[in-house]
Amino acid sequence: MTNEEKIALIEETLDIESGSLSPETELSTVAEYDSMAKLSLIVLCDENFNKKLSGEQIRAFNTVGDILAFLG
Amino acid sequence: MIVKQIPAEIYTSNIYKITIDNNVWFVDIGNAKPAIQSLSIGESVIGNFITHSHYDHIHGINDLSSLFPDCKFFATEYAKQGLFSDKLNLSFYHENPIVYSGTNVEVLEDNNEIPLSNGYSIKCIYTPGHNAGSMCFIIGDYLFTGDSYIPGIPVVTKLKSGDKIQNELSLSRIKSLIRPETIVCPGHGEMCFGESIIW
Repeated sequence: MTNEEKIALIEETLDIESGSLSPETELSTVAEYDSMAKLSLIVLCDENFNKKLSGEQIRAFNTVGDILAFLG
Repeated sequence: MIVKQIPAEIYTSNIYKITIDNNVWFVDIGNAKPAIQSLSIGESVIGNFITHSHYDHIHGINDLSSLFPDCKFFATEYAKQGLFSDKLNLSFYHENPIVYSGTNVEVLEDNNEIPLSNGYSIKCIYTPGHNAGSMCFIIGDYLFTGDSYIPGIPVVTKLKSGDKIQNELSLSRIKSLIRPETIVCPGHGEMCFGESIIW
C-alpha cells in the first residue's frame, strides 16, 4: 500500500475530507483527531495492518508521517 | 412505572432503571455495580435493553447475568454480535475485553413492541448511524436514545460501522418522536424534556 493510500485510509477513519492530510500535517492542528478518532485509528491498525497500537504509541504521534512510519 | 438514571461510574455512560411493581429492566449496563446497588429488597431484574453494544454500554453484562441468570438481554442482530465479539464492541482495544458468556439474548427489530408488566410495553426504534446495531426505546413519555442522540453533542459516526448518512436519517426519525413532554434519556449526559432541546 502506498503512502497516499494509507493517508486516504486515515482520512476516512478520522472522517476528514479527502486530500486534507499530508505526511507533514501536525495532528494537533486536526480538530477531528479526538479520542474517538484515536480509537478508530487503533481499530484501523489492528484490522487493516495487523498491528497493535498502544496508548503510549498514539501519544507519541506528532504528525501524519509518524502514523505512516508506524504502519510501515 | 419509575425511571431512574444511574451513572455507570467506570465510564461516562448512563444506565437507566425501569421499575414496574417489583420488576426491573435496565437500559444498557455500563457497569453492574451501581445498577445492582440501586435495587431494593424484593426487586428482580427481568431484562436489559441494549441501545448498542459498545463496551461502555455493556461492560456489566456478565456480572448482571451471573447475579440474575434469567435476565434476558434485548438487542438488534448486529448488537448481539457485538456482545460476543470484543473487537466489535471495541473492548478488545481497552484494558478489559468483554465477551458475553451467556446465551440469553432476544433479537429486536424495528418497531418491535416488547410487553413489560402491568400493561406497559417498550417500543423499539432502529436508529443506525452511530453504530449499525443502534436502537432507541420508547416507554410512555420516555425516549432512550443511547448514543444515537445526545442533546447538544454531535453524533459520533467515525467508529466501526458508523455511517453519516444513516445517522442523518435516524436523527430525523428521532426528532419526529420528540414532543415537548418527551423525557429524553441519552446514553451520556443528562435527561431532559423535549421542550428544552434546541435543534
